[in-house]
Amino acid sequence: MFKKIVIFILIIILSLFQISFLNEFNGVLKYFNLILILLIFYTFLIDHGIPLIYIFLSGLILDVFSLYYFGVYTITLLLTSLIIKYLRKKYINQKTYFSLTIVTLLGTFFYTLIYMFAINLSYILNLSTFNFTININLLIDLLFQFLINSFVIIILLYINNFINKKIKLKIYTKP
Amino acid sequence: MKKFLTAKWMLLILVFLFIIFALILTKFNLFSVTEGIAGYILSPVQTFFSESTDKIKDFFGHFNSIEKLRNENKSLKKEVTDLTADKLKLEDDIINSGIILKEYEYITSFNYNTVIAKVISRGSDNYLQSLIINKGFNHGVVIGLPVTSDNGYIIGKIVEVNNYTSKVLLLNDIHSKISANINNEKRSPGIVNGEFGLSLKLTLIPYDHVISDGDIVVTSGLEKNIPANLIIGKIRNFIKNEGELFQSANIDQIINYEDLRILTIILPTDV
Repeated sequence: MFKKIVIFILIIILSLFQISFLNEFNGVLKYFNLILILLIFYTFLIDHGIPLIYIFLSGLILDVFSLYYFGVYTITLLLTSLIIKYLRKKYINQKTYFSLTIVTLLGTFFYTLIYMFAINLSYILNLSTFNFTININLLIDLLFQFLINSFVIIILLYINNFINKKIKLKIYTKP
Repeated sequence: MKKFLTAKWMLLILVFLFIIFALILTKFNLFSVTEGIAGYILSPVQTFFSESTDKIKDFFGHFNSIEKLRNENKSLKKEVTDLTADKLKLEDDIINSGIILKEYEYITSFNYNTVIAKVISRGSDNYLQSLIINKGFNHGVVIGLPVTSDNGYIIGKIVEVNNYTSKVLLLNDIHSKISANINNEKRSPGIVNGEFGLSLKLTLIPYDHVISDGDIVVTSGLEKNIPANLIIGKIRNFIKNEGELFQSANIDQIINYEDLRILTIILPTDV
């Protein structure tokens, strides 16, 4: 019970850290999506994935401080988690650095796609006055996000391999 | 029970139920109370993170500032020289023109009701240029009010209000539009649009109007709750193509939108 309360508080702090600290910076830190990185990392690493309630909570906090329609971030994070879990079970059986990089790429791509779709759907349904336009800046952002996410996830993996003796990843597996 | 809750299709049903629930709550406008309370409770933590960012930026900014100050000093010296010549010309105009005197009297007689707000953080959206401030319904703030910084430079509009907090959409956001005039002879009208969080552009300027670099762009006063003559920026370069009905111009933002901390919200005069 105490562990769950600690994790709850940690998720709130991390979400606020994302909004109030990371979003203030320009340059490389602008692309640093901490919530998405942790979602991809733990959904990949832990067999049963992250409990729904944690994803729901972080999505709610992001939605409170968002100008988009309420629920966009929650739905995006939940569906991204579902897709990553599906990919892990059906197509990516081995836990290696390489497979994690692939999952990061796909996770970032699907997150942006669902995010864009949810925003534009709420705009079309007249629930929000903001839409999401596809332009060259978006594609550049997507590329930078993938690079930053992959870099941070690899660092997290090294830390995990150092600390956690039970779940360790290899760089690759021999055929 | 545990198997039922962890079934794959359960997640899809929960997502679907959440969407329906969110739609119902939004329809009856019940989210704003929850958002307001959540924002109020979480704002001290947000303020802490936001202020930490300032300190880090100040620390690293010191190393860049010396060269920046040197360049700024050089350009300011040039500006002083230019302004001295303009000042002499203006003094003549003021003496000779009764219209300018009447305008001055009108502006100074217009007393705004204002409320000062602190920026708690940026919004959680990377693709929207927005700020969250610590004033809301309880302080008289409503949607559509102009937000200014540094003595009358408008930087955005209120787009969402809760009891204790509000969200400001900055002028340089792509969704932002504001009616404006150029402070030239003809008071050329136009619409100021944001450009992907990077700059401002004034469009729909009549083709036959003469505009020049350095002209001040101000609010026109045609929008509800936004008074006239709030400074938006200066014309940097104008774009005039043959055969088009309108011309457009890029605007230099006088205020740095990255460094906004204390803002002023202009309240409606009938409040």
